[in-house]
Amino acid sequence: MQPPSSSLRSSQYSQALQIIPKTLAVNAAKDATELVAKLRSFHARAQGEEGKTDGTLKYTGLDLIKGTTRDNLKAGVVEPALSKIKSLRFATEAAITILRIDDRITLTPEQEPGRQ
Amino acid sequence: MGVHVLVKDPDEIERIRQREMDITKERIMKIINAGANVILTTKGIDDLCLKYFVEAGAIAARRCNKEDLKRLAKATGGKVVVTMADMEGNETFDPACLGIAETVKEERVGDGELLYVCGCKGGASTIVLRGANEYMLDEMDRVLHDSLCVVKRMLESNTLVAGGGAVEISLSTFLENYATTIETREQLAIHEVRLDEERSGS
Repeated sequence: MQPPSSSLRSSQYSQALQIIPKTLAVNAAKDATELVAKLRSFHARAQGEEGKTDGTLKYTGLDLIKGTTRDNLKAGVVEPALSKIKSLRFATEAAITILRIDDRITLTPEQEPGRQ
Repeated sequence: MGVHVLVKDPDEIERIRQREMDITKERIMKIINAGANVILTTKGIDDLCLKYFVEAGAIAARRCNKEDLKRLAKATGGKVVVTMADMEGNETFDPACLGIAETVKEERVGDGELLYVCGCKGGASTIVLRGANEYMLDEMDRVLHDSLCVVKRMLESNTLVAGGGAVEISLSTFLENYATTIETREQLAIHEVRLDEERSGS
């Protein structure tokens, strides 16, 4: 079995990351699909027009009381970068571990009937 | 310990009792003379003994929490005194064991009373949480603990990011763009997968 290409990998990774704001919106009983779509468009603009805008677009996050998006750095909603990096790293490692064990299980039973 | 004291005269018993009380009084006077004006103990204080503290204008609080006492000792620079016995076999109170605080006052909070020790030089502080019931207080305690830990992490690393899903979406958008820049045979497959997801999402 060939490992998935790096583009598929990063695409799946990006899908997985979107679960976080989606869950946040669902927990606050807001329209998750609309908010995530809004956030995505803001961040796509922030990354597409780097230098063209004032650079605060990339701080856009959720305002779950009003059910809108806003500049979360200005609003004072922040998280420690250290714990964010660590949780991402840990989640990635967990995924790698699961995938690695999966490979081992599928390989062994295929060889057994061939020898007998 | 197998020591027997035989008292023949009834007056002697009274005198023994008197002496016992005097010993306690001497101990109290030693503590007060050392300069103490706030006395906290985990055990009880007899009402008769409490009288001496009141006369000296000192606050004496009995049945305090041991953990609280240890924390207070650390904050005020004092020491929890377990025994007054010194190396010579006498009983003395070392003024070095005393801690320093600006004010000590009792305040009514809800149904109970709390003893506030303010202006400790150790820089320690206490947050008094108030709530409707125990479950609410427990929840407040957990939330406060969590948020203090977040602040701690932030101060440790001195770095922060915007919250509320900003980081996740930013990274997600970046990876999606990055995925399209990689030229492979699987590009078509990814496109199919994404279409599939969009279909199931709607």
